[in-house]
Amino acid sequence: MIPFTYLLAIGLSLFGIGLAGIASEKHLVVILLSIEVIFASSTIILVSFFSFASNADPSALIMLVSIWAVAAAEIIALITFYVYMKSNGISFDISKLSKLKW
Amino acid sequence: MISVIIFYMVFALAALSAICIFLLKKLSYAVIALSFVFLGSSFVFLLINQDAIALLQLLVLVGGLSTYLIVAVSTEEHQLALFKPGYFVIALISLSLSFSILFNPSFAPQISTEQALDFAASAGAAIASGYALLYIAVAMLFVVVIGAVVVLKEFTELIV
Repeated sequence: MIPFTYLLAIGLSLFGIGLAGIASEKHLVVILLSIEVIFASSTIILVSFFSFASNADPSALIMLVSIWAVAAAEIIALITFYVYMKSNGISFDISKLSKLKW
Repeated sequence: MISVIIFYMVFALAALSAICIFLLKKLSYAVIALSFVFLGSSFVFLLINQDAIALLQLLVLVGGLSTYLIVAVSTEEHQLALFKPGYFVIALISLSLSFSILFNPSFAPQISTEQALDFAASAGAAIASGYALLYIAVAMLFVVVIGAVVVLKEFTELIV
């Protein structure tokens, strides 16, 4: 059995790497992929807390299913954005997207 | 003890793949690296005896969504060079924090010599048992998808 701190370590490191990916990139698709990494780290931390709790309620895993649903919806939205912007010749640089700016 | 050693490998796989997402120049390579992050988290769920969650992660995220994403994004040739290395410090700080947790001597695993000798014998049995066939199936699926994309690109270049 893995110690609990190891699971917190992998979750924390994946969260930090995803945060650095969001902060350091301007490409739209790469930012959304980094958000997917943060979702993966949050599922790891949630399942490790669930697995190591003494009196864990299985209904806590509804949260896990909702995280998966949000991740799946985000990937669908990403592909929709990708195909639209690719076919219309819009740049993927998010600093150049200014149509919704005030 | 073998599970801790496998955990180190999974940690390395997931962390390196997550860094590769924003270091690689091609967008399709970044998407493949994301699928390896999902594969690593599925391994983690398998290591803490949550088999059903690992199976769902493997089916939904690795098998379904990553394959869809690879096929959708594979037309992109070159990613914009927009990486700012100054913000890479955030990832390094979090990695050092997590490694300071991981290599704290009060949490470190104590491996005896006979356990270390026993590792080579039990590693093959551990890898070849349980859910290993599913991971092999997912690897073959990835190979088929990437090969199909490559063949399709060659074919369209021949036609057009």
